[in-house]
Amino acid sequence: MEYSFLNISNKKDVNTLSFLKNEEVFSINNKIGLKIKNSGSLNIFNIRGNLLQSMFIKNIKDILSLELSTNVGHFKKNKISILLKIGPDELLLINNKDNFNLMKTLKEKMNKIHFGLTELSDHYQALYLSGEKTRWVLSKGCPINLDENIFLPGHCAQTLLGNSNIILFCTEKNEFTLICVSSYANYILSWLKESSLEHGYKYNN
Amino acid sequence: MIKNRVNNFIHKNKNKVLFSFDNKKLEGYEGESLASALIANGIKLVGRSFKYHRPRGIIALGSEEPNALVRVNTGDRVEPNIQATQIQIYDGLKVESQNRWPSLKYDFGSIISFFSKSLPAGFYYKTFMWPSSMWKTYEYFIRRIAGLGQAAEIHDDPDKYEHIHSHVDILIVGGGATGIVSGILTANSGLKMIIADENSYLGGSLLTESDIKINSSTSSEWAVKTEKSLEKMENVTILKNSNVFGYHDHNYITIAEKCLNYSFQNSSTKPKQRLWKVRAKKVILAQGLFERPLTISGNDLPGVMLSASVRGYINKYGVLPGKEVVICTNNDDAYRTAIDLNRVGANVKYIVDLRKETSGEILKAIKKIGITVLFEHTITFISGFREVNYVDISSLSPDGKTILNKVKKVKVDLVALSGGWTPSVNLFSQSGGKLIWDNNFSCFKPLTHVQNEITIGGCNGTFDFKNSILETIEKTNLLLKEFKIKKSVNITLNIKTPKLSQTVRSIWNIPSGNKNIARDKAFIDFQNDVVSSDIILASNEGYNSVEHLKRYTTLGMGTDQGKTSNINGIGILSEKLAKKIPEIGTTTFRMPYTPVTFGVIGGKDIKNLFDPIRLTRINPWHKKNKSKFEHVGQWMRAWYYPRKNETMQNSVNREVLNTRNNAGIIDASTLGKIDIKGPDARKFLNMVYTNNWSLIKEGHCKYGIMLKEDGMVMDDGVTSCINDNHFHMTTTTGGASTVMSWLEEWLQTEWPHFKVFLTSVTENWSVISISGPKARAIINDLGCDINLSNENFPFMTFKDGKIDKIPVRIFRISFTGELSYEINTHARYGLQLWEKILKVGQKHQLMPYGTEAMHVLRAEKGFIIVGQETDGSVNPYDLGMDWIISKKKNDFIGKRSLERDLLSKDRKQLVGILTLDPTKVIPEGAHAIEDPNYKLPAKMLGHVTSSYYSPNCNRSIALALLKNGHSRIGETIFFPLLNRELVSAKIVKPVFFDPKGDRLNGI
Repeated sequence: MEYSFLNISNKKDVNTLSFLKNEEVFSINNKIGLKIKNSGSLNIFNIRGNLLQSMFIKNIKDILSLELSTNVGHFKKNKISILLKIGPDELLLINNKDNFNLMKTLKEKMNKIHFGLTELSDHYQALYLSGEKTRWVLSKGCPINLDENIFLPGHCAQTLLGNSNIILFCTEKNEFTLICVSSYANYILSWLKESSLEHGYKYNN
Repeated sequence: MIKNRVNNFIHKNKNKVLFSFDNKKLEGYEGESLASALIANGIKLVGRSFKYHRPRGIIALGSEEPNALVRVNTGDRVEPNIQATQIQIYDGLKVESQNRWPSLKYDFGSIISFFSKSLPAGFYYKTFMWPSSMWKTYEYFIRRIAGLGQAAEIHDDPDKYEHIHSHVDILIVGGGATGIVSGILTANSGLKMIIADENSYLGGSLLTESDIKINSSTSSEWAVKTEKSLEKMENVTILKNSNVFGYHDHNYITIAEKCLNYSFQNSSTKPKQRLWKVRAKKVILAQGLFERPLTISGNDLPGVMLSASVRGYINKYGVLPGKEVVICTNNDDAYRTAIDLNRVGANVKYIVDLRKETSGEILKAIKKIGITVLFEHTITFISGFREVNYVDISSLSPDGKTILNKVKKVKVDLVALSGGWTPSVNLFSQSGGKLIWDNNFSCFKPLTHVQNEITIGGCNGTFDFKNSILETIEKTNLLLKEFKIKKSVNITLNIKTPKLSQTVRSIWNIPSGNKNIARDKAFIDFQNDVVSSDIILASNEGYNSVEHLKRYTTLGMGTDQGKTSNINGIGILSEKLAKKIPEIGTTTFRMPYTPVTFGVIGGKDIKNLFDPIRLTRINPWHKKNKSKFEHVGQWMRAWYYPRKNETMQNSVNREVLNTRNNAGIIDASTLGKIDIKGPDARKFLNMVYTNNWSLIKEGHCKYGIMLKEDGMVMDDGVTSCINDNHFHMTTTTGGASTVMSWLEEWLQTEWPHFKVFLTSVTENWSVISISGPKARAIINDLGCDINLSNENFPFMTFKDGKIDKIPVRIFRISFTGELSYEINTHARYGLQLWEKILKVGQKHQLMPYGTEAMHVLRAEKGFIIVGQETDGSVNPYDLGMDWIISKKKNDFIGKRSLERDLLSKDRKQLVGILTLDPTKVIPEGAHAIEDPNYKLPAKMLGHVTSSYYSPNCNRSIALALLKNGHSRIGETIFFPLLNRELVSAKIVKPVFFDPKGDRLNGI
């Protein structure tokens, strides 16, 4: 029997940060500048291929109901999925519902072209960030231009936060999702808390 | 009011605060500089000089101050060597002077001054040389006397520091007159901008001059008003108390900000300093000018100050540094100081002007208030004990080299010197820009711009105030055009300034009137105690290059970076060598422009955030079961699991023995894992590994070694064939990200035509390895649905299946030489599976073992660890792994370099080492020699790479790399240890246990 993510039926909702306290609050004058939330289990897939190839684009659109972004550093989303274009031949698909049948179909349809689908749900950990000071706090460790007129909702980037690689994407003006490799999650969380001490933070598991 | 205060100064409406200087309680105004507060309290003596321990006072207003270096705060917050001009006082501030004992006034070190003739520049290189055996003694005492300032005894700074990245359209460096004007134009255009200034207010010289009017307001009022309006603009960030200290490539600028809202009370949440990492599309350098002193004998006495700084203290801070004043100058600017001094009641006895005359209209104002001007005169000697008391004034020869008559000896308590102006070109030069010498103003100024920046005003060599403003408006508007700003931006400024002549007479070395030649000292670099005769001496000794001059004399090497001294020193050198100054040139300007704390450079990367600590999903179990951990790169791995009263050796012995006799389990989740997909996967593997991957079948695994282009071993691991287009590669834990980057680089740059995708999956899988004769039984008892027999599941294959509904992929590979199964599962199941295995394995005496036991087990079998047996200079032949080099492949990374190595002799080769005393464990790194009766330097054969006590062999074992090791099997060699012990050992083949490999299939 072949090992495949498609065979995983027990969706244990455990990720790296699941062992921490459920809630932690540090406010400054009753204000919270940054809210951090553990995303819980997400389904994350790395998709590789010639993103200009029409068959590729069509299959993504038909099967996942998602358009492919024109430029690297942008993403598209629908009710259950977000498709990040993080490289010239690389996509990251994230969703919070079981869509293994879609993945199976995608794999079968793409069989004849040079295509890669790798499941990475446990390789990554995601954190949802929101609050008035989110951009300011992230700028303390992230070198890209996070100006609210530049890094807009719909933008994504593979970048750094402190000493860790991250994938960052902006869903609303002051709402972001940060994805890091699982073993860096504790460091990232500690970093975010330390960096938002002057404005207050709240962490939810 | 404090005795030296005058009216109308910027801090007038602030709260009064108490601070202390050398335990003396003093009063000042909140936010004023410490230097200002000290002057206000009548304190002239603020420190002792670095080398000669001469009494020193404040000479300047800003970051060019070379003398007033103090130690602030107490306990773990102590900061030494802070310029008094750069500290803002607050209630409770504790300040100490430095470099004196037992007190500032009565300093024992001042005796050195009497021996100063024996301590010229470069004396370090000529003394303490003989006898060489005494050097350690000399060094002890030199270290005790040397240095300036003392760091905190408690090295646990409680304050916070952080970094912030910022991307702007325009960065304006310097918030003085031109910086503010440029700022208004830019701000009104809507571009995103930062204005950074080292002071706590914008305005620069606008706050220090009383004779400039802008649009009918005083310059100070205009500056304050304009700053307030800039603060309201959303596209403008004003960074005050911020030093722009580095101009790097691609308009990347670093700024150290002292955070205004920080205090001891909120230090647990607010940062004390912040390092801004700014990327600006355009930089406007508006840093202004530094005034130079004159090189006059005795010019370092407290009470001698830079002329413009004197009026700065009067106008900005409302303090009067002295009442009986002589001004000595070579330009018109100092006349403004005379007018301001007179206005606040000081007695300006003379203006002594090196020039023959001046045509500036300011002379009329001077005459009107009755101040005597002595043209073509100079001060030739400044005298006093701990502060200035007298000046000798003499007339000068027309060539400025000799004194004609001594005219008068004048009693003073303040001497204001002005030797000309130096544009602040440090950041411009850091950006790569080239300078040109301006002979009219005796200064270097910007010529060729390299990066995306402009220079305006004083730092561009534009000295006239009105002209500098006009230049600013013109250049800024040109710059805004580059941004295609449609809206036209104008500014109307009606400026009134005194009319000054622009003539300057530079006499680099004023002839001395000091009759005591032994004590004749005209200082160039106050901070490093460099006098004019040091420059002459350096040149006499052959140090004629300006860079050599700097290193030999230490001119310009202090924290002030030669702001007030470099040009004077270069001028003296040029005269000595009879060369023009442009031929001498300048030294290289390097960051930091002003001192920067290590705290702000480190930022948040300290303590638990210094480096990420990576933990596996199974870590909670290791922690709960009191494992000891070790660092493996950024990972913390379980090192060993001590039981009650066990030493480390006991614990490791137990784990090793149990693994070979029963079964052991190790968390191997940290191993690097790369998913390789694509029709060219085999081709790719053939290029990156030394062996052949064309024939490996689905479901099979193969060990591979990767080389760098130089043929040296880079990494190793087992790669498995899932299907023709899909492989699973493993790497070492420490090499995971390096190998991934390496492979991607080759794929993208050399083989972009390969249809292969690489994806790191290191953390997607938890890996649990079970080793030992009972391994199979344990997995069977887990209810695994795979047939584990040797026939069905041979060595170096893998199978997919389930263990209690958990999907697993099991690899039959072994790093211990025992029957082993590496169980891979989704990381989220790792802990659950681990606990289950241990529970089921209990009856089979299954025990966890850590990395130390793993090292022993693999060493017993002679298996290498990349990074232990290899160091980047070891190839597979050295390791005895000829078998892994394909003879048939046309090419692979490192192949060509291996051909070179085949010809070289004396290569270090991997062997086993058995000590003659089996209880002796040789330290790793110990060097091997042939001759037990060696004489130093001994000829070294190689070194020990791994060394352990092996409980399975009942003795010590070691691996080593020795020259021609493979042909030395059976020989005896020796290891001299650090404690002088000599250990004898025999060279053997590098396998110590189960050499035939019988245990792989289980007993």
